[in-house]
Amino acid sequence: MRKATLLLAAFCAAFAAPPSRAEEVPDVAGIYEIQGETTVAGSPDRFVITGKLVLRQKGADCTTIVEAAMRRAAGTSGPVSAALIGSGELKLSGRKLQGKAELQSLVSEVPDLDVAVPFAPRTAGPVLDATAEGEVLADGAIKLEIRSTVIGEGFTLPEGRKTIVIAKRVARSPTELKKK
Amino acid sequence: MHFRVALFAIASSLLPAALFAQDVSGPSLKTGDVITFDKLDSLERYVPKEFWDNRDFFFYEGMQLRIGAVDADYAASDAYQAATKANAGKATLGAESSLSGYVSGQPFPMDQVDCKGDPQAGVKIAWNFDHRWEGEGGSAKFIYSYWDRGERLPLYYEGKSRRVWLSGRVDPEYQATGGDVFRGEQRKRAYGIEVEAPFDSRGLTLLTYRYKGSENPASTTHNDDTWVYSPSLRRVRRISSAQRADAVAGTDFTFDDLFSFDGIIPQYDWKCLGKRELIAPMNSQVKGYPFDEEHNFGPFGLSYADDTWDLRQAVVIEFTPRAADHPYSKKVIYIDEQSMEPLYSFAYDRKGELWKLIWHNHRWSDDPGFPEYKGWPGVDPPRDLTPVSDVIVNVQTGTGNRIEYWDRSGTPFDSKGALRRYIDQNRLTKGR
Repeated sequence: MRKATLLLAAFCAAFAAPPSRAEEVPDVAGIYEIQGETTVAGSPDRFVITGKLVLRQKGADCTTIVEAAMRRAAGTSGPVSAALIGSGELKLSGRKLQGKAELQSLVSEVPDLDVAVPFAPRTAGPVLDATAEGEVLADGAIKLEIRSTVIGEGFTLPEGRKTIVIAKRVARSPTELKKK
Repeated sequence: MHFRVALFAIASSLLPAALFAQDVSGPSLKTGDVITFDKLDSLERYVPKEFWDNRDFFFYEGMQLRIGAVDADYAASDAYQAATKANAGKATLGAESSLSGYVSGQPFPMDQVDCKGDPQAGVKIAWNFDHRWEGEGGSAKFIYSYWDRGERLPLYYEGKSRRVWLSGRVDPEYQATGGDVFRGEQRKRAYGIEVEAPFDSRGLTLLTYRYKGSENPASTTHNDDTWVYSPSLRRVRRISSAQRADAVAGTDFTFDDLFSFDGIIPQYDWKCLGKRELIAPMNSQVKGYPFDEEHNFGPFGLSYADDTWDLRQAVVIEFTPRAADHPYSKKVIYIDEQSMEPLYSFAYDRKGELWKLIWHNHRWSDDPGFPEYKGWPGVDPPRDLTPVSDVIVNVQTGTGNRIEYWDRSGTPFDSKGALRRYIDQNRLTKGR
């Protein structure tokens, strides 16, 4: 199962690059819903990613909170689902962003049982050191390409994996109701 | 009452500022007051600061919060109190917050626990909380719903759950075996869940054993065993859970967040932060699931503000996990000093930021409006302040869960045979 968790690889959130010149920094603070997928070159495996990204902004610097789930959409490797939680930092340079995050993966102890089923035992998978690069799109959404490595021993990740997520801002604060 | 409140205000000023920072001024509350949204300020000094800081989730236009009893008598059953007295002094603390010598009742009588002067007061209160009175344990129908900034998500789980104490029982019939239900019992309690809806999860069944050995030092603890029957797998999987304190996107509750804390005490370091007076939903005068599925839980779906709240004395304890990879850096738990029922708790992430807020509603077994909770031989009336709903709010993302089980009762099985069948893991596949 550990090997299986390795595909969790991916995703998350933090970003930016040192600005080469003074550029206007977009307002990115808020809560985002993320959707994306991880694919592995030469493999049918495909994992769908959904979840939340919270950005707290101070000028060009942001802190990030990530809570997401990965679910296997195709292929047979890895667990049927896994959760990823973590936090990181982000830097904005104009509309470009770059950053890093540390993500703890969690998988159900029952293979094929969704990690979100309440009260089903779950166990910690690998911790991922994720880096991301991306940009703020014209509509305010954020597109990220994520790469990650495993922290610590006991886990490996397959080569050729690629994770791309789109994060759409859905609220400025946690207490902003969806329905008014 | 006003005199007591005044004394409390003075006392509060001498206690840790972080815990009581909001208790500075404001009108007193009295039984019969109805607090509406325009009078919210009168609540500030009576709720934990973390709760007040996040009040937008809980208080709303149209709410009618009624102030109920002041220090109502929610003392445990006579049998539990007698066991506490009979076994006083037998329970002792060992290495790594472990417990030994416990028989039944409250391990460390609360009137002898000195929060300020005893560095072990925190862990003693934690053990009292763990061994609080709850009858046989608690049987209920439940619904588990998911919320995202006020929107109820399509995902939900509905079913039955039952918690059964297999040791430390105060019922007369188990006194010959030292409180064990079965002679030579190694289990402490069992917990079962059967999911009945939605259709694609129907039949998902879990059974967990918590062992007496879980009270040993963490290095020699006996981990929980869980059996899970998954309809999609059509078989039972057995899992030995070393650490269940994982936090997961999609469900904000962890197993150990149930009742604010349902984990293994020696896996944490504990301290007592103090005592304070506060208000909390105690003897609910509304009925949620399974009686009323349309009750108003506020715009975020996570509020008990439209109910009766009592003034209570609470003890406040804090744990820090011994495991470095635990998702929480600490959790602060507010516990009713008399009943030892959980009131509020606040979990902090590894960065030290408030992450999850948990609170509970309760019913009093002896309330005339609670006929479902019946007494039994030697334990009549049952005198159990039982939780009937839990809410968790992820204050960072605005998501949350609400669990309702308003019919929860600690009345035992009709027969020992029925209990034996319930805790038998073979039950999970029977007839499938």
